[in-house]
Amino acid sequence: MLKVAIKEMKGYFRSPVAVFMTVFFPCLLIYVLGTMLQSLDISDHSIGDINVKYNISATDKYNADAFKTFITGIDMVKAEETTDKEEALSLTDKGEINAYIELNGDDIKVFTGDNDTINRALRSMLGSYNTMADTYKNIAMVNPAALQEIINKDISEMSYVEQNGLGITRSMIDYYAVSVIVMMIFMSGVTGQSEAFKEEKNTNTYSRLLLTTTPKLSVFFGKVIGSIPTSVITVGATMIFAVVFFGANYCSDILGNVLLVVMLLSVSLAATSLGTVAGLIMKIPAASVLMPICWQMLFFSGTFSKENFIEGYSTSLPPYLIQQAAFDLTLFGDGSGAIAVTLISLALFIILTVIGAAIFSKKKAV
Amino acid sequence: MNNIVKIFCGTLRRLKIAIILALICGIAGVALYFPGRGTADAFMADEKIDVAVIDNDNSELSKCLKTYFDKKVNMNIVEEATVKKYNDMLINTDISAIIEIPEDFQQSVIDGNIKKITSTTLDDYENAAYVSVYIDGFMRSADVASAAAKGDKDMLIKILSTETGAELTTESAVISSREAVYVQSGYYFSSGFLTMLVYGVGIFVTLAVMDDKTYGTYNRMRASSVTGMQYIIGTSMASSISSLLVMLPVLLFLIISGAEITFSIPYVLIANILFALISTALAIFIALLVNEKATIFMLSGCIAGLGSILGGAFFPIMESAGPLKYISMLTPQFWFTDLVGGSSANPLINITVLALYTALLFLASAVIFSKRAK
Repeated sequence: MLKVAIKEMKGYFRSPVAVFMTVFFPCLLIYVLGTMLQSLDISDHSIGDINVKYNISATDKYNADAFKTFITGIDMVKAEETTDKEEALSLTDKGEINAYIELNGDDIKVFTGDNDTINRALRSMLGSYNTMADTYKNIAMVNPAALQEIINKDISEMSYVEQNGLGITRSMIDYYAVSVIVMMIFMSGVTGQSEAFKEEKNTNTYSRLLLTTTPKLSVFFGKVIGSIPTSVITVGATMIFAVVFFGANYCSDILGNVLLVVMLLSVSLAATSLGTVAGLIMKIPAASVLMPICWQMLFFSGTFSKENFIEGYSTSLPPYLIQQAAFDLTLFGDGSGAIAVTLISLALFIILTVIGAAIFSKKKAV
Repeated sequence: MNNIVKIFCGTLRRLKIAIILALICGIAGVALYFPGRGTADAFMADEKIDVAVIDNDNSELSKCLKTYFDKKVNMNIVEEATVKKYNDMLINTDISAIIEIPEDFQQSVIDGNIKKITSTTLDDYENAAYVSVYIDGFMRSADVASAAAKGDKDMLIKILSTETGAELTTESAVISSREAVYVQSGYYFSSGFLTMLVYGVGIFVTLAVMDDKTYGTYNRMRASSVTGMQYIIGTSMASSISSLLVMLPVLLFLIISGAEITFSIPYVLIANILFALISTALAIFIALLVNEKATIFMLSGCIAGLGSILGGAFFPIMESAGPLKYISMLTPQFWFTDLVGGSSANPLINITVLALYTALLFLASAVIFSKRAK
C-alpha cells in the first residue's frame, strides 16, 4: 500500500504541468483576479466633492437664507452663487462644474452634468432640504406661535447619526484566496481523481497491479492516501503564497487558521474520494460528467465572481456553503460553520472510501 | 524573391480555414463595436443605493423615516433579514450601509431627547458622510417638528408626513455630443476581443509550421535553395494576412462609415499592423520552440486569455492595480490597447514598443530556425 501511495506522490511531482496547475496557477489566479477586480468591488461609486453654482429668485428672505445656509453648509459641497445662468449652464456642459441649481419660489430646478453619481447625490441632498422646508411650512400652518422659537434654535451643526465602521474589511484578494482554493478542490480533487484508475488502464498497468500479490484494498487505499499530499500542497502552498506575497488575510488567530486548514483539507479528502468512486462506477470518462457539474456549481456559488448568485439555488450548493463557512471564520471568527463542514466532509470521506473499497475489491484483472 | 512568393502562396493555400475564420472574426469585431459603445456609460450610477434598515421601533415615525429614505433620498430599503445576513451583504458590497433605528425612537423624539440613528458602513466606504447628511436631513426636521408638536404624537406625524407641493425637478445641461466618446469606447471594446481572437487564428499558423518540422519539410528545404529567412518571411506574410483580416475590418468600418473618430488614424492603423505582425511572429516562434501540440494549445490559451486580461483588453488596468500595472506593461496587448483606448500620453512610444516586440520575436524565430537547420 505504501509503495502505491509513494508511486502516486512521485507521479505528481514528476509532472510539471500537475505541479503548475495545483500550485502556481491558483496563486496566479488569486493575484490577477484579486488585484484587477478590487476597484470593481464597490456598493456604489464614490461621490467625492461636488462643485455647483446656484441662483435664488422670487422667494422670501427666510427661504433664501435657509437654502443658502443649507447648500453652503455641507462640507463636501462647494457652492457659489451666480446670476449668470448661461455661463453656469455652459460650465456644467463642459464638466467644469457639476450642476447649476435654481431656487425659484419654493421650487428647485437642478441642471445636471453627465456624472450620474453626483446627480443622484444632489437629488438626495435637495430632497432632504425639501423635507426640512416642508416641515417649517407645516409648523407655520399648525402652530405658527412655535415658529419663531424654532427658527431661533440653531440645529444646523447638530448630528443625529452615530457613524460606525464595520471593523472588518475583505479585499478581493482575501475573497479569491478562499474561493480559488475551493475551486481547485473541486476541479482537481473531484474531476482529477476520477481519472486515477483510468490512468492505470491507459498505461496498461491496471491489470498488472491487480495480478500482483498486493491485496486489492491496499492498492485502493494506496491510491487514496497517495492523493493526500497533493491536497495538502495545493491548500498549504496556495495559502502561504497568498499571505506572504499578496497580503491576503485569513483568520487573525492561529486557532482559526488551523481550523480553516483542517476544514479545507477535509473537504479536499471528501472531494478526492467522491472523484475516485465516480471514476470506479462510471464506464464513460467520469471527468466529462463531473467537470460540467463542478463548473456550474462553482460558477453559481460565486467562486469566479461574487455577482453570480441565484437566491435559493446558490445557497444550497456545496462550494457556496464551504466558502461561506470559510468567510464566517475568517471575517467574524465564527467557527460553527467550519466545524459542521469539517465533520460532514470527514463523514463523506469515510463513507465514500468504504464504498470505493467495496467496489474495487470486486474488480477483476481481466 | 521567387522562393518567398512560392512559400507565401503555399502557406496561404494551407491556411484556407484560418483565412475564413479570420474573416469571421473580423466581421465579429465590427459586430462587437455596437454593444461596446454602451461601455462608455458603464459607470453610470443606479437610480438608488441599497441600504439595510433595522427598525427596532416599528412606530409611525420610523415608518416616516423609511418613506423619506425611499422617496426623498433615493435609497432602496432592504428589510426582513437577520443581522448576520446584513453583515454578509455589507461585506459583499451588496448594500452600502446598515441603518439601525433604535428602540423607543418615536418616544425619544416626542420627548425632545432624540436617540441617535446608527449607520454602519465598511471602513473604506467613501460615501459614508453623504449617508449621514441624508439621515440628518430628516432628523433635523423631526427635531423642529417635535419642538412645535410639544408632545403631541399625531401633530408630530402630521407635520413630518404632509408634503406642501414644492417641486424638485432636474434637467440635463449636457448639450455637447458624446458620440466621440461612444465611438472610442466601442472601438476599444472590440479591439480588446480581437487581441484575443487573433492569437486563436494564429494557432493555425503554429500548427502549419509544426507540421513542417514533423514531416521533414525543413530537411527538404535545406537541400533546396530556400533559406531560413525566406521561409520565415514567406510564412509570416501569409500569416499576417490572416491576422490583418481579424484586426482591420472594424477600423475600416469606422473610417468608411464616417464615425466621429478622435484618435489618430495613422497611428492606430500602424498599431494594428504591428500587432498583427506580433501575433504572426509569436505563432511562428512558439511553433519553432515547442514540440508538443498540447503545449501549444496551453501556451496559446495563456497568451490569448491571460495576456489579454493583463494587457487591459477587457477593462483598463487602473492605478489601483498596483504592481500588476508594471507586469501588464510587459505584454504587447497593453501597448496596443493603451493606444486604441485613447489613454496613451505619447502614441509614438506605443508604436516604438510594438515595433521592437515585432523585431525581437522575428529575430528570435530566425535564430531558432537557423540553429535547428544546423
